[in-house]
Amino acid sequence: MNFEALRVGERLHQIDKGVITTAHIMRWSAAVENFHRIHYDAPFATQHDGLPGVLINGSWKQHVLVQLVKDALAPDGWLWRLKFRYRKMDIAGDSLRAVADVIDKSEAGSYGFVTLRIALLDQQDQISTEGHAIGVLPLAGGPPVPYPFRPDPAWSHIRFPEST
Amino acid sequence: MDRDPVYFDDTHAATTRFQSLVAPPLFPVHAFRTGADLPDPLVSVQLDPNADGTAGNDGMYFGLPPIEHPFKRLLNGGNEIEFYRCLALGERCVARARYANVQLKEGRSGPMLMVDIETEFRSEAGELLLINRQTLIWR
Repeated sequence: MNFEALRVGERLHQIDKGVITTAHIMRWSAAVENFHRIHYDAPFATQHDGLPGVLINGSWKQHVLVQLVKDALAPDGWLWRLKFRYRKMDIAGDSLRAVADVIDKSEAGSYGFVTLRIALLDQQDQISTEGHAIGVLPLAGGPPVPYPFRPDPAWSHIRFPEST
Repeated sequence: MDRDPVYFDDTHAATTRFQSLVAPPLFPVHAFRTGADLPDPLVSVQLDPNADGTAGNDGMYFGLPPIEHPFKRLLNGGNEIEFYRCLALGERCVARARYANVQLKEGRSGPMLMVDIETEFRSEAGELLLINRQTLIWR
């Protein structure tokens, strides 16, 4: 992503994950060793815990948001900071889409900074998870973003919006 | 799925800032495993048909001592994460957690316990990978 080409207000990136089935939730729960039965045992989730269905893991939603912003900023940008809150539960059968919109851009030192509003939306466009991300991008003709990333104390004014 | 080739294609990874295969940025947060010397958590379900499968480890984070409280339900109130670098192939990760803030609050549906946990993830050599600040809500 080219910092100069970013436009405030544009949708920078979107990932459609499609219908998340119990098979997807099973795979994720096993991979992260989360054995809570709300993620694979439908009678336990609905009858014992009173949930509307088998729950999609919050940890999975976090990784989707990271994938969204990482890919939006690739290959030269760096996802510096991410902040989000869960707004509702999502269950097997829901379709999820991740979106990133540019809400601010600024320059500091040798780098460009972009603030994104990020969200996960279900099939009815209801917000599942929402928050903000701050990415660092090289300026045209400027130095690459250092890796490992080391934030400069002079960037302390670059913060999340108050509403996050 | 995230099929970013930096996770599996070493020829490609060698051309990137990472220079070698890396794990996804958040991998350290969710990839810690139950130690082989610890009891099988699913024994709890054999002993009690109503057990939730966590064997009481829900809300236990990287060796932090549990906080005693009467609340039953755990909600994840959200996260704030700073990324510095990815864990590279062959590296080990060390996580160090601390309670950053613990507060009893009166919510709309009664009392709740807000627990902020800050966890630093470093390579074994001590290089910072990421910092995860998580809010847990017990009620």
